[in-house]
Amino acid sequence: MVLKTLDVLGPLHGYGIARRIEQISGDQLALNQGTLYPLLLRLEQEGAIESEWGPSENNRRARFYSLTRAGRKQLQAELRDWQQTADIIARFLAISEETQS
Amino acid sequence: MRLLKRFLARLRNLASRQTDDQRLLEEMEEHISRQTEEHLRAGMTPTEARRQALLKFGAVEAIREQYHAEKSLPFIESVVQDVRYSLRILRKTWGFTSIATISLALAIGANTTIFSVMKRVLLDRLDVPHAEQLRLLHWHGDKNTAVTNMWGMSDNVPEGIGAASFSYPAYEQLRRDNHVLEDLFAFKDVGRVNATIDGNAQILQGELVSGNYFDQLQVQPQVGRPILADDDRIGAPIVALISAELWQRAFGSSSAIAGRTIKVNMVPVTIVGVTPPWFTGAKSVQSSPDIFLPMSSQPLVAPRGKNGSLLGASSPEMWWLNIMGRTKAGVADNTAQAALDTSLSAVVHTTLRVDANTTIPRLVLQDGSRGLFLSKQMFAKPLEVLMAVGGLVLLLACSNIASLLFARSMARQREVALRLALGAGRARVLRGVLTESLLLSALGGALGVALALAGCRTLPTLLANPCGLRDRRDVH
Repeated sequence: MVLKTLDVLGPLHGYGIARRIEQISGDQLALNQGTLYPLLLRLEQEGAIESEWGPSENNRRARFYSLTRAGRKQLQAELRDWQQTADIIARFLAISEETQS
Repeated sequence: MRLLKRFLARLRNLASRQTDDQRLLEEMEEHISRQTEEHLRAGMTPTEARRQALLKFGAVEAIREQYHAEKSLPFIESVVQDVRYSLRILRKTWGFTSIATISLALAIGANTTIFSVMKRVLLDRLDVPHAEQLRLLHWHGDKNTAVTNMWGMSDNVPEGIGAASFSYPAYEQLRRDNHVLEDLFAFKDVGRVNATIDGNAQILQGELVSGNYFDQLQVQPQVGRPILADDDRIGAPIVALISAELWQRAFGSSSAIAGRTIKVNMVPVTIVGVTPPWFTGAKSVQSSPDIFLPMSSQPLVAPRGKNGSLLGASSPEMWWLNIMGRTKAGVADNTAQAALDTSLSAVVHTTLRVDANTTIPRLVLQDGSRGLFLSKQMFAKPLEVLMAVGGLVLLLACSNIASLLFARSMARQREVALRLALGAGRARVLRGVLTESLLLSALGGALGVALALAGCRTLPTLLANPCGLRDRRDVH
């Protein structure tokens, strides 16, 4: 989700990412926003994203995260995987519906 | 790949001991203030807005901890912590520490010493290419054996007597008949010879070798040339190879060594080369002769017997030469032994007086990879006993330390209870204790190795001269 957000919106700070995830999920994902930061660190250490200080909209210092090329590749791979999984599950569900009806 | 990258990043953070909480704190602060602003815009009171923002963010401390765990390698960090804590404890209870360490060190040191001596004396092979191919010729006979006159060690075998000594005529004939081993070569440790080097008298350990000795052992001198077949004939000018140790001791490793003349038992001898430092001759693994002379020089440099010569047909009664050969590809040991046995009995019949009562010695092929392996006869038993005692000492030290540790852990129950109460996991506490024991044994081990090194220098003076030390026979 983080990767996708960054892919869509470009470089973004932590708060922005958290808000975006909240909005997209329609407030259904009520995670502690703070848990985002260890995750960001992890992605950065894996080389999927990079970060730098930059001025935010209200002229304060904020850390901006952006997707790297490796991150984009990883996103693509994960999307593919997810699509596959979703397809398989969907097929299973379709079968069980048929037998019920 | 990703995992590796991440691991490296974490390792870097661990190594640089970077604890930049600053970045996280700033980011969190920023996050919360933005959230607060949003809530304010939604119409909350300032206090309420901040409270809600904090609630939404979650437990700051827990996140910090999690962040830190992601950042570095907590496992290694906690190990480092354990080690430092254990070191502190060990320093604080230095009495206990020193007693435990010393008893461990003594036991480990003793065992290591005994084992290294044992390895040197009983396990090491001759330092020549493919030592495992070497076979030593040996014979067994009973009390009526045809061989009556011997120069060299004999040992007890079930039949009566056994030895690795042969007469020169026997060597010549065995070598001529031999087709089951590679070329047979002969050597004989003649003990001390008097040498004069630059006008200084020296006592050297001499070894007579046949002309094919260096060729068959596949050893090249580090300087000069080996003793060749041409040097090993009666009437040839006497040449010699000296050991690396003698070269250094008497000649200061001078490069102009080849061609120098010394006197051995008043006979002028020309040095033609120096053996490599690791070469100890074919006789033993522990120490090298100082000087190698061709077999043909025996009557002059080491006269013995009725008219001084043990060579040729003049003295078939004296059995004194050691004979070795390398295995031939495709010939089994027992085949070789049978063939050599046949030629040995022919030799005995032709060169010795054989009547109805005398028995013919039986040839036995032995492993020659450790030379004559006299050290086995002399030291195998004492070393085994020592090793057993050493093992017992180690056992004793272990039980000693175990009871010490047990007593101490009883005394530290309160500390452990306190740590458990403060939230330390059982595994963590256990790991701490384990770290302490490991440190203790590492200390003991290190000290033990140091002791062993010292022991290896002293024990040989009591028990031959193993541990790689050549014995010194400087005569001043």
